Amino acid sequence: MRYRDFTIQDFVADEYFRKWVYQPTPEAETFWQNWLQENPSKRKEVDEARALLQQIQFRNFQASQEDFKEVWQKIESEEMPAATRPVYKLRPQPGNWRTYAFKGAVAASLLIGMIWFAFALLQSPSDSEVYFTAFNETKTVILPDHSQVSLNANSRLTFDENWEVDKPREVWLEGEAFFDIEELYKSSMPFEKVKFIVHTGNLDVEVLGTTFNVNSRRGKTQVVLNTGKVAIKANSEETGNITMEPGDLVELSENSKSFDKKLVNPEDYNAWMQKKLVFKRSPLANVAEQFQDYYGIPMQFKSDNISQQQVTGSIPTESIEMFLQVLAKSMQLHITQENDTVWIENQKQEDNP
Amino acid sequence: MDLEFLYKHPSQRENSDGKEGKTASAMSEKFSEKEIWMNFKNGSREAFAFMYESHFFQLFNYGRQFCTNKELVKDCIQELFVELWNKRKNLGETDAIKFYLFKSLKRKIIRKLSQHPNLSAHSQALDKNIFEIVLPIENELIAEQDEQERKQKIRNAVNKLSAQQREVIFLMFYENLSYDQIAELLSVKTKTVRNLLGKAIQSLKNKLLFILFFLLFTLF
Repeated sequence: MRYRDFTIQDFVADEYFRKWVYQPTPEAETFWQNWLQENPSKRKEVDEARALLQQIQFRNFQASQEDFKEVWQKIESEEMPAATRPVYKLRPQPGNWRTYAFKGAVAASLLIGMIWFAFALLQSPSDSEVYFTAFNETKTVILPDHSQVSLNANSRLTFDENWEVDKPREVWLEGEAFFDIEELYKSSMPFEKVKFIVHTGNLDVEVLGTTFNVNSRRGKTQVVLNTGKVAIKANSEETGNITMEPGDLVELSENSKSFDKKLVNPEDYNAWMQKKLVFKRSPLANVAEQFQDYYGIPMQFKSDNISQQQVTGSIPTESIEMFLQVLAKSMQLHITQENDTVWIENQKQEDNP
Repeated sequence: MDLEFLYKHPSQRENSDGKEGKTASAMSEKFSEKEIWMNFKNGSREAFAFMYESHFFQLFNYGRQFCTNKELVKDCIQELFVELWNKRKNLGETDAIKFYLFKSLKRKIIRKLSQHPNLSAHSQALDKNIFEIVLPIENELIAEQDEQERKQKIRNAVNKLSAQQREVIFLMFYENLSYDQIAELLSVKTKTVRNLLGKAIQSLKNKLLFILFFLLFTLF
């Protein structure tokens, strides 16, 4: 078919034509302008086809460089047999079971099958998904209801693969995470919202739809609320419940019988998502704690009085070297690293001529 | 977190894979698709990595057009490439690698969604969001009051297209696939694809073109 017989559809379906619209070259420009001069009756079709191509745009889902590298690394490790499974887990595929079955005797596989069935009955529907981060790594997790959880380093988030309709949405957290929870209405009662619950070692955070940060380490849980409203329920009845407003920080320690509550700037507590830690008159001991939580490297003080010095400011976490340099400079400290421990002492006169 | 931009045509996108991009383009200048595929089948890691580098972002974007679960899309891409490598000796020949990858990825995602109804409920994009067409960025900039009405008209018109019609347009306009390849991807006859596109254009043309022209002339 010749161009002069083309309809709009033929034009948009023609690769050469599309190339002229999307990636015009001088050659293509000359060709089509000449062609249009020779075939003026076709100008309408050409203009309309051009307009269609130019105006129709799709949503672009841009994968990040991290995604690109992460998937490639998994491909490389998966090619080896018995490789690590992907973090995002599905139930065993039929193929796997078949291989297992063929390997064992029929009786054995029957037995296994029965045990598995009994196990599945007892366990159902709790097929849980586990996401975890290494030191110096953060990760974003999308929950089945599309809520987003950012996991800080050295943390673990667990939840059921299947969320029952209208039942509370539950997750279990060890470590630190920032939650951005979508409101969800019950399908049976359209005006009632479905609860979202974060379980930590010593308390539950109950919300309907909010953003908040939870840090649960060493038996202590700290919750900072950015937006919305949450209720905190301690595991121990004696401690009871407390509600939070935006800007509130609530803390419950292992041996404490009551909540500590104060007003803070909530952004300071989720600054880790922007790869920095923000301190406001925090003792160095607290900096050391957060440093160890993030990098997995202990920080020790050569004399006790240093640990009580107060730090104010933000420190980037992208590299350990940078973190320590910023800390040393701003606090005039002498920092050394030996035997996988970071040692801190006051800068001596001779170090700073 | 997904960064959602307006979908720029692949030619207008910046090469987001930096260094990898250079080796990739060097390879595609030297070898044809058929040769790259043959090299990969013969065990070339370079060819395999090239196939990954040059298609990962497109595959991700394609999968996300109908599956909202980013991790699931990534997992399927991972599985696809692991399988490709492990089964490379038994694979047939092809001179259309991208089409082959698109086809395999789509099958994988759809199979996974159908095997896990619970997963599917959360991860399957709503019909209206599958291959969703958005307004060009220029139009978004024209925020005048009387433009609102025009924008709404465009929105209504593109939303009248079926998900299948939008998929045809996506695959043809943006991924340069042929009628035959699109037909295979959609599991329909080539003639059906022609009809789908024809009807889509007809309905867009009737409702849209005068509006589009108006916009075009106000833009240039």
